[in-house]
Amino acid sequence: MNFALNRRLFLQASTVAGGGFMLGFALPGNEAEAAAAPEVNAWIVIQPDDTVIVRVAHSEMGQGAFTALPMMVAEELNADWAKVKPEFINPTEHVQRNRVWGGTATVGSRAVRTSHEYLRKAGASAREMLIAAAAQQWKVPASEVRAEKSVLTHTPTGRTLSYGKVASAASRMPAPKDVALKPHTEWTILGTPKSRVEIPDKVMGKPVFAIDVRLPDMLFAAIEHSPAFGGKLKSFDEKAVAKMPGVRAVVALADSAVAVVADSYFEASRA
Amino acid sequence: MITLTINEQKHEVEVDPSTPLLWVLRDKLAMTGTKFGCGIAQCGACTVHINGMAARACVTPVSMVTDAKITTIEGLSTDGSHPVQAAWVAHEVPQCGYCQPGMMMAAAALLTQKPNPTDADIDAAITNICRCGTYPRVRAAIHSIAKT
Ligand code: FES
Ligand code: FES
Repeated sequence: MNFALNRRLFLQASTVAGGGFMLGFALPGNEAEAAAAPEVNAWIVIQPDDTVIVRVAHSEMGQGAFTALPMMVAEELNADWAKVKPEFINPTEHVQRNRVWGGTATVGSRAVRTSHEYLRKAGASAREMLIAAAAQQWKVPASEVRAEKSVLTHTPTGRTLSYGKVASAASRMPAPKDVALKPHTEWTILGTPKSRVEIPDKVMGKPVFAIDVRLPDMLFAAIEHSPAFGGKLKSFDEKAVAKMPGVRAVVALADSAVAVVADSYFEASRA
Repeated sequence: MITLTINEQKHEVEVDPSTPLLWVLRDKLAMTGTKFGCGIAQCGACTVHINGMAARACVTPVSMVTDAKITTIEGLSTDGSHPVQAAWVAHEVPQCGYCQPGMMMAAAALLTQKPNPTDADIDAAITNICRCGTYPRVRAAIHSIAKT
């Protein structure tokens, strides 16, 4: 089942990547997006105070994806790394937006390997859109505008604009069809050591792990298996268990295990 | 009704007195920084302080701690400034981070008792299990605090 899921995600990811998806996603007419800080493309939101939110579609399990993936976007965006704020994508929004962020399966050391090209392209494309927006504002050719460390400079006159000032106009620019990626010799963020951005939250016990998720009216199940391999379920005292505090149901799972469903994990596991 | 003093705040909870403190924290008070690993005092994921001493909340019935001062990871500091938290950031100790609240609570308790622990002291006091294998950095972080 895992394989089927990965394969499906993989196929989707390759279809969208092949179709030049995801760039210039701030479609006119989408009010929710227009109201929020401008989304230059699906991966990048630049706030008026120059904070660059970079979306992350893979899980952080201590392997550093939450830092490494935004580094790839920031490199091509020519963003100031100190102003980059990684943010996880919202899975519901991912589905609603037709899986705009591509594959999310985080397995097999693949997050960096499989996403670097489209992430870097997203960064490069947004950079070109910011340059185009600044050029338009200054009424100069785009070739005279340089983007560096979250600042746009009109080279002949030395005028500058920060990314936050033109992000809104940039979000309405057409996404370039094709963008060149920097050669690795020009990298200033990639290939340099960076502190993992999620650690300060981790030392405060803030991250929500799967076991910490609470949904309205959520119930918890604990499963008791046969202690011997291949053992079969003979009988269980459903009535006695059902009387225990918090227990809502007792369910036999085929002929080999029993599940207790209760209001909390502790109540389920105790029963 | 049971009254508990957690992170200097009083909480009243309606719960069976034999319920382990861990589940009162997590399920009744929604303080999920304290983790569940084994439930049988083996892994240390649920470590909290009871009157300043490290204790495993999964095997501590709430009825035993009604008069105690309980501290959880949420109360170690309000802003991540406790020396252990600062050292954990500086040494980038956490990987997945699941075991780390318990690990840090154990380290903080150890340092209060022994401000300059040796490797042997650390091994003896910190028996928490880390599936990611962060032990060398846990040691380095603890030593860095001891020296300061
Ligand atoms: S959950 Fe308490 S020691 Fe493992
Ligand atoms: S950091 Fe992952 S279990 Fe310790």
